[in-house]
Amino acid sequence: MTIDQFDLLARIQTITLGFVAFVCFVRFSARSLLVRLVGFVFLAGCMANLAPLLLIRSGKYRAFSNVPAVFYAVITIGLFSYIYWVILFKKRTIFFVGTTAIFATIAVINLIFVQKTAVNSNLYVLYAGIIICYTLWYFYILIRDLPTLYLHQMPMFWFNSAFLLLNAGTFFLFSFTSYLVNVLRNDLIIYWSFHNVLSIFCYLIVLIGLYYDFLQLKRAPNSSIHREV
Amino acid sequence: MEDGVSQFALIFSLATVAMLVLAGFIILFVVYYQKKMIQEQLKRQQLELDFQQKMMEATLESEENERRRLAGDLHDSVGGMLSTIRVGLTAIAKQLPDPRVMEQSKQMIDDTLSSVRRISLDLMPSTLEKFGLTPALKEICERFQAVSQTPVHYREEGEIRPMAASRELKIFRIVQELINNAVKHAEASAITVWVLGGERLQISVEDDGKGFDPSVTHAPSTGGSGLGLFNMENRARLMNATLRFDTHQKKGSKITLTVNYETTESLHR
Repeated sequence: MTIDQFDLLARIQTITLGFVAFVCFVRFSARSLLVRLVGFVFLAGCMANLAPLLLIRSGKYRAFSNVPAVFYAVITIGLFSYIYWVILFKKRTIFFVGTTAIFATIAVINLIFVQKTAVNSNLYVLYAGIIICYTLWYFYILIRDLPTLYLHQMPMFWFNSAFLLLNAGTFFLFSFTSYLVNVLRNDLIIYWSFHNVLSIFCYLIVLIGLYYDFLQLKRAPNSSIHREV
Repeated sequence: MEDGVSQFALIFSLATVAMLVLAGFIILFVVYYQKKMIQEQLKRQQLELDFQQKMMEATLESEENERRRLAGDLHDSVGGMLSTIRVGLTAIAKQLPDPRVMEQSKQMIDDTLSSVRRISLDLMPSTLEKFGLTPALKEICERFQAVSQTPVHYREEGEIRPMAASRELKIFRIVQELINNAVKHAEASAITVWVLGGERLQISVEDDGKGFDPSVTHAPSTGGSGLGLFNMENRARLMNATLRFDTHQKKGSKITLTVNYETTESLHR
């Protein structure tokens, strides 16, 4: 894997992120809260991918290389907590708020004292772990409540599947990345590229969910039910 | 060292892929389990629906049996006794110096007898059992006309095929209730019963009365006044028939019962 290939993959991933965010925001006022929130998650991802370029241009990348990632992780964990709080019947508010607060604290501590400029693996592992728990929780609710006859027509089913797959991969990938890179002096680009490919695959799954959301929007353009999550 | 790194990387990659496969498996499991549970739920609902339908059918059947028994008892027992009393009275009257004193009593017994016969016929129309649906419908129109003094016309078109006795009885009960409602509540000057044969059997009861709003009659606030309607709908549902309320008429109301003819197989059954 050359640096050019890695760069190309990163660009494709950023464009895909931006595209998914754009699709989420089309007909913004008619979209459900859930889709809008997912759109913000992807917009944050896109910004986090573009931020290192700005830092490189300003010559501050070495000192602040992990800052955009920390911002991205804290903002999106907040958005995810909000998404799952809404779809899990707006219950256990303290749990969701607490999870976000604890995660933000750990992220800042990790940035300042532990992995200042090294691979930010601790943060990603914790991040992925939290999202995996949320997604499994949602699947449990799906099995328990049986809300629909056709699961594949639920946009959230696709979103949740994509988040689970992406974070399952991320969780394992970053659990050992630090060891592989720092101790075994292995090339980070390979693992990061794998993460990028997996991300693009999962964004495509999210697009399937958005396709079904569009179908629902077409069927009931003025339906108030659609606005409910 | 190099070999060790590659081996670790391989194990690590395999473990990551395994993690992804596990995530994929979880997603597939959710889809499969959800589908299975929904199927189970649908099956359970269907069973409950079948059970309710059977219960309804059994209730209606026992109701009909009870009516049949009551009609038989009234006709054979009470009617027979009244006839015997009448014969006795006639014999006594012959022995009296003025037989006309018994005329009033005899007249009362005659009225009671005809009332008993009418109630008995209402409870179980023998014409339906003996001659089938259309003669029974014709007869009920005549009877309603005689009792209510409102003209009840009977119109028949097309070939009307016979159906299973239980089905014919249900149709008869629905039409009986419809005419009864028109006579009782519609303040109509004429009622017409249309019986149209063909691919399906269509029976309409039309009147020129004040009409009604079926949604109001169905409302729970009516406090059970819609019981007749409820029973009619139940009977129709049991036959897979439809009851259509035509409320957009200028005057009066028109209710149409549409019944599909059974297949030969179900007719035999």
